[in-house]
Amino acid sequence: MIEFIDVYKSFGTHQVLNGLNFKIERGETLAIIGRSGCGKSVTLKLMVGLLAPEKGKIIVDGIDVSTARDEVLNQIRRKFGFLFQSGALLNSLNVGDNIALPLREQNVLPEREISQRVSEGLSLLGLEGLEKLMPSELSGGMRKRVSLARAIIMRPEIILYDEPTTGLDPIMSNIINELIIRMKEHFKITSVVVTHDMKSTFMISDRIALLYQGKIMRTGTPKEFQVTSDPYIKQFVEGTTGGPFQDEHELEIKKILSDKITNKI
Amino acid sequence: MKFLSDFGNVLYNRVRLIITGLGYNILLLLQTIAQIRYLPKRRKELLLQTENSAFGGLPVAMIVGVFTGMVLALQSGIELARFKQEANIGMLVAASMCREMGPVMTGYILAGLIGSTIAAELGTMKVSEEIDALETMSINPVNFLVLPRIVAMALVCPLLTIYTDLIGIIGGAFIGNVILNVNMSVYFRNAVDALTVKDVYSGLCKAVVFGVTIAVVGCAQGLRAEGGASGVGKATMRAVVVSFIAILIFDYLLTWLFYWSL
Repeated sequence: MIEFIDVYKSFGTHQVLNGLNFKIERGETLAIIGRSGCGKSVTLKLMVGLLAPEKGKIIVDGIDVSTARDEVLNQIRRKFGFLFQSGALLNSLNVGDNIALPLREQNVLPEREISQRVSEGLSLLGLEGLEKLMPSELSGGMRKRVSLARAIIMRPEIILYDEPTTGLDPIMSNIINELIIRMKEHFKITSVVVTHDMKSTFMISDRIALLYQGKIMRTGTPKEFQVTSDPYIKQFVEGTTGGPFQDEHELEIKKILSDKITNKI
Repeated sequence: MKFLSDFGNVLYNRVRLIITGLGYNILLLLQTIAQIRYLPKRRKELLLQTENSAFGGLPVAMIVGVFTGMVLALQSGIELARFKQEANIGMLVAASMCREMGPVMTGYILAGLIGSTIAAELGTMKVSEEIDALETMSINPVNFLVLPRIVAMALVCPLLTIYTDLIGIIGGAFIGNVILNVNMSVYFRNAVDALTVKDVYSGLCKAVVFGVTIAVVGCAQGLRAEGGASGVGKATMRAVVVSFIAILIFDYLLTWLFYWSL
């Protein structure tokens, strides 16, 4: 359904993705994990054409997103819902207008039916009656749920989640996890979840991919990730400071310090 | 040598930034014109932007207008009095306000008030991924955000200019009467007789150009903001500075066009 073929992406001199190759099958929930700044969110943005790769292809249902014309790209984007890390609700619109926005823009449904869909979406996410509130009046968890309601209003085939539980308390995190599972079970939605939250990862995903040095280093089921002896996966899953990630991080710091001293001399 | 090399690099980067920025602004304006068919769909946002710009600028335009007219009357009155021509003060104030001071002062007011607001609003949307959210919903940010703002400013700037012109002429009348002892009816008759259609439409054309420029610059700076709150702050500051400079340049070019080449 979605395939990355040899994708390269850099920002200035910083090479983020270095020949990324992986596939996402229809109906599965894939979690992409990795260290901060390794390119997880960049991968999500490449999928919907918000960013373009320097090299490689990103195929969504047979169409290369990286070279698609605007009209074709817009059609592909309609298959997606995107839950941004901060929610990305429009602050000038109230909750109801935010959720209704994609439907109103497409101009395919009468206003009565749009209002009904908005109410249903809010109900599904435990936010009944909040249509008139502004985003600034919502808590972090409520903003995420409203953003999710907006992401699903167009009945997408694929939902992309960028750090859905970051900044939330454990109870709200579990509520979001359960919603992600419900999206899959009720609507058969394919999900791609970028996260640092290993508890969520094990709870929601069918498959996990570890992104490292711009490539997928390992993939496997949650069970495989929990029992593996691979030192990279073990260190990331357990969150320990000692291990191959820390050793490389220390080498990076030493190199930066050494470069600074050399430049001063 | 290193100093020269560093200076050269800085100069090159600055010039490159200016050219890139200019290109982005022109491209944004052309993209907006290409999306003009979406204007009926954006009428609610257009009305909101027009309302905010007009009512936001009115109080400041009143103060700036009246004092500009008064200063014009005072300064020109000094010279006219030397030749016993104080009675013509109305003509001078009216022509200056309509041709030049009205549109330029209104442009500066709107650049500071509305240009900065546009840059801050769009910049905040950019850094909080709201622009990305619009694109993932297949909503073009140009017709959704930029188009109503540009059209609103194209409407508001000339209307506010008319207001500033009138207030300025009235301010000049007050000074003419109180300090230069010019009869009010003489003042206003001279003002009306001296003003030509060209004086009025050249000023209003300048106002439309200034309004569009302020909106385009504000939107462009906002949409290119990055780096969180400090990035939004820089974008806001640049929107005002670039608008001020652009108004000066366009003012000169349009004055030359209307009064020297046509």
